[in-house]
Amino acid sequence: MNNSLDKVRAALADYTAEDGSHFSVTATENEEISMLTIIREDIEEFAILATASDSQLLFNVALFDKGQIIDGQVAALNKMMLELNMAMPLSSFALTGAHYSIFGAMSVESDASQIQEEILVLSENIMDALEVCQNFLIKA
Amino acid sequence: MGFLNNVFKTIKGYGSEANDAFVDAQGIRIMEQEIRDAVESQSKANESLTDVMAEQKGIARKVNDLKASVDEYSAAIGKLLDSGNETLAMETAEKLAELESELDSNQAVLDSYNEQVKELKITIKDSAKQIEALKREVSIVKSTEAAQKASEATAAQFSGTNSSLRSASASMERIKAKQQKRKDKMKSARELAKETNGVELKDKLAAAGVIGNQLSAASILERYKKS
Repeated sequence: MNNSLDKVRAALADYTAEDGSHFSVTATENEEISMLTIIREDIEEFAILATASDSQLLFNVALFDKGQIIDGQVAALNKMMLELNMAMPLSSFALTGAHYSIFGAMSVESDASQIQEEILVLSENIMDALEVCQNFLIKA
Repeated sequence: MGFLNNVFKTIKGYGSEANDAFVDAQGIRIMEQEIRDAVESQSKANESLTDVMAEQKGIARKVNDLKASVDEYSAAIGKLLDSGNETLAMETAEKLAELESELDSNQAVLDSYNEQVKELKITIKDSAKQIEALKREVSIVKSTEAAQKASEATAAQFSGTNSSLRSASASMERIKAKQQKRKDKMKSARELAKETNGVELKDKLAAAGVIGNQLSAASILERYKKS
């Protein structure tokens, strides 16, 4: 496993946030990809996926795909995400291929407490981000 | 062209396709090709930089030597004029004129090498940024895909169906309901604690589903049989 991802795993191993949340971490390592799947116990449907490049740690949460957006609402949703990007603490909205997500990026030099804060805040942003996008999404 | 412009061109090249799965597979291929191209152009720029810097060094040395000679001859002319040796001063001035024009042309060459080094360094840095950006993009697509496959496998295990079309709004409602249920449990636990105490509390908590029922020997045995 990549050194930086090891650091992330170590930072979360015995970590319990002030509100009692903790995170389970699963590593995936093959020739295709090296990643961690980080799951906050009460939001298990939306995993935080951690990957690392030479300089950055990247934490990404896939929220939904393009196919789940109500017809004709894509532009309005995109605009709203841009407008809210700065309001969202530590995380930002992103679109990769067909996947909308929120993510946080940080230097690989970050220490354990910074990594913990990043992941806790990102996990807190998941439900808020989904809530604000809800009106643009097809109801199940 | 700046690196973001290049990255955007790559992403735009595949992002408009209607089929999402195709977008991902195609996108990864295109981006990986772009990464290879960027790595190659970066290594070419690195080679050029090495060559240019070697030449730059040679010219810089020459310019320094010429500057030293120009200073030397200038000083000499002053001294010769002071001592009234007009003829030799004239000869020295002719030599100085030659040296100064040689210095000027070499300085111009050095300036252009300096500029080239600066440009190559920017190119190398931009390529590095582009490579990093595309690698990040690829890792996001791949990790999302891997996670989806994993959750599809889990879902298929339980329902026997392929539920790749996980609905975000449905998931959100489920999570909200779950979180609310937990809150309610905690709240009722607090309320029960106020009303009662001791053994009675334990029973009431169990009845409210806040804590589990007392384990029977049979249920423990059952657990071992299963595993």
